[in-house]
Amino acid sequence: MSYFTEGAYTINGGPLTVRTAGDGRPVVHLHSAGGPRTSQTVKQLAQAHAVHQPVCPGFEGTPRHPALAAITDYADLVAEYIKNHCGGECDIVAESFGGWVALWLAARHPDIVGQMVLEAPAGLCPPGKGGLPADPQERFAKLYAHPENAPQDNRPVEVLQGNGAVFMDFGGLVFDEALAAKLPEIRARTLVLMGTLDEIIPPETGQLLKAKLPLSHLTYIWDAAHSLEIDQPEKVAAIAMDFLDRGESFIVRPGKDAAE
Amino acid sequence: MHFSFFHLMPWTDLEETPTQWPARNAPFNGERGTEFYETYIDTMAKAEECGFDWVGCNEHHFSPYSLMANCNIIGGALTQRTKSIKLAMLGNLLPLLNPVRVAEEYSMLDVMSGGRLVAGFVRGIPHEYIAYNVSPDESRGRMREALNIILKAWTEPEPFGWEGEHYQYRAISIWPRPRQTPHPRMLMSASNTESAAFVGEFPAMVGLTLIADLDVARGIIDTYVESAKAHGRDPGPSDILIGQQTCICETDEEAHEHMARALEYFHGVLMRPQQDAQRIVIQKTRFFGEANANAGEYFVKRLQTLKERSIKEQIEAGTILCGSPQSVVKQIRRLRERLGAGHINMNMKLGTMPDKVVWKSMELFRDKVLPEVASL
Repeated sequence: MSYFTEGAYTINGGPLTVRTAGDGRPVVHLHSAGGPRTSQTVKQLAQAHAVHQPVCPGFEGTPRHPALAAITDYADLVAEYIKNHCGGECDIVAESFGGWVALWLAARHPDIVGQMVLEAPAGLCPPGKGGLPADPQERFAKLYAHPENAPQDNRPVEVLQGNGAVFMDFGGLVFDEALAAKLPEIRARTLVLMGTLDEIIPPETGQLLKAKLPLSHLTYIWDAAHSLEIDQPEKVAAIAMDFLDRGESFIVRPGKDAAE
Repeated sequence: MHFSFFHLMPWTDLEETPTQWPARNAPFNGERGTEFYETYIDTMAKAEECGFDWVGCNEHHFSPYSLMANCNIIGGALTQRTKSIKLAMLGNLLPLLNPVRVAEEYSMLDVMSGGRLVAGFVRGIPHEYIAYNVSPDESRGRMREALNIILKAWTEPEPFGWEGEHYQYRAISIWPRPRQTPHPRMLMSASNTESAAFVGEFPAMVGLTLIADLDVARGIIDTYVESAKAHGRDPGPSDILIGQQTCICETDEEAHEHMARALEYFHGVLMRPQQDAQRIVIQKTRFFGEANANAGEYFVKRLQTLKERSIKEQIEAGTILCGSPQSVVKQIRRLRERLGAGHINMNMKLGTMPDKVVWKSMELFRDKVLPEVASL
């Protein structure tokens, strides 16, 4: 039985599949280039939030969207979904590729984005640093510090290849100069999480975001590689939810009887 | 070769042998304590004029064995008493401390001294964990994580948070940063091959002390070098420091006599109270890890062996440097040949060793030993 309820929508003249779970203040969870997953982190998020997980058109064997040519088009598509199905404004939790989308979403649609948690976000990978290995085994080794936590993947190889093809159509692991120029304009308070063992997205990406985003926090997750939600699901869920709950005051350790 | 002068700052007025750890502090006298600190800091400052490359101290708790609960305070005093000698904190007992505080204090020392800090990080001897109520089982995990936090605190250009197993911080951005870039030289200790492999993971030199057997020491050093190479570094002799209890006098006989008397007090009185505590920690916890159970046995056996050996046997085993300048030169040459070590750390204030003998040892080192061994 699937954890999510899946819905099919027509937005901006094309299809968008969105999975939803939980109840509460809406959070849009933007998936990585590996495709959407139901991680322990997502399950914990759904205990306090209505989690909406759009499936980027073309991922998981879903149909492509005729209006999607660039990453900004996908950000616009998600924006339309938020306006129509999330009460007009929501927080974002995003993994890797999803982080790239989230940053464009916040840059282009500032009024609909509350706070953001970006886990090893793609889109700002400096040339010569990091990288996603083409060899599946090598890629797997770099994705996980704790491969024993990785869920069994029963998806057909064609689906996985399709996910990779869509990601590459958006440019793959790049340094998006246009996005970098927009960072100082982003108003959403943002928590950037980086794994201490991540060799796919280098620490420089986290440092750049911390330096350029006006309201930002950078936190390293110990003993985690690129797939933070798989390597350290409880830690990621705890800090993400604390940040979403307390905003800027999350930097203060709360007492046992903290004021509401 | 390079040489350090090391001071343990012992309390040498104890008339009765403590039988239990921690040693009761009723015999402590504040006025004498002040005198000890003045004499010891004067002695450490003198190391600069005696040609030593480093002057060092370390951290111990709850014992007359050492009056240095925080060696960084002594380091702070030395920044104002010395001009060129490197200040080696050998080191902070990292798993017991707040790593952000250690990063801050070491940065302060580095800046205050004009970039002369050598940053030592040690896991400590087992009983220290009782003092600060930290589980010995967590010592290695805390050490690894704390080292990574400190390296980030020293080098990260932006404020950052940390979510770890043992440490959590929401925002770190230390002021000052270290003066040396990317960070001060680091030193970590190793008493067995497991810890030597661990040291090799980091950009650090390795330190060995209380050597009981030169072949065992060689094995530890080889393991460190192998591990460092596996992590992209190629350590040379200057990355290997050997700690030596040292006494240099005009004649062998005089030095042996002083050393024997000092070590009797060192082992029989100063080291006595921690023996039981160490045994309990080693036997009842995983301080040395399950995969390295023999290390605990070796640790206890090594101390017992050292205690029972004669001065000549200790010289032969590579534990101490003792004798006339000519004899000590030979002993240093042998250490260099057998261990490939490029740095010797000399501890001259052993137990009740008279301070005037320590000063004479330092002067003989400067005048008659150093000229013979500096170019090794």
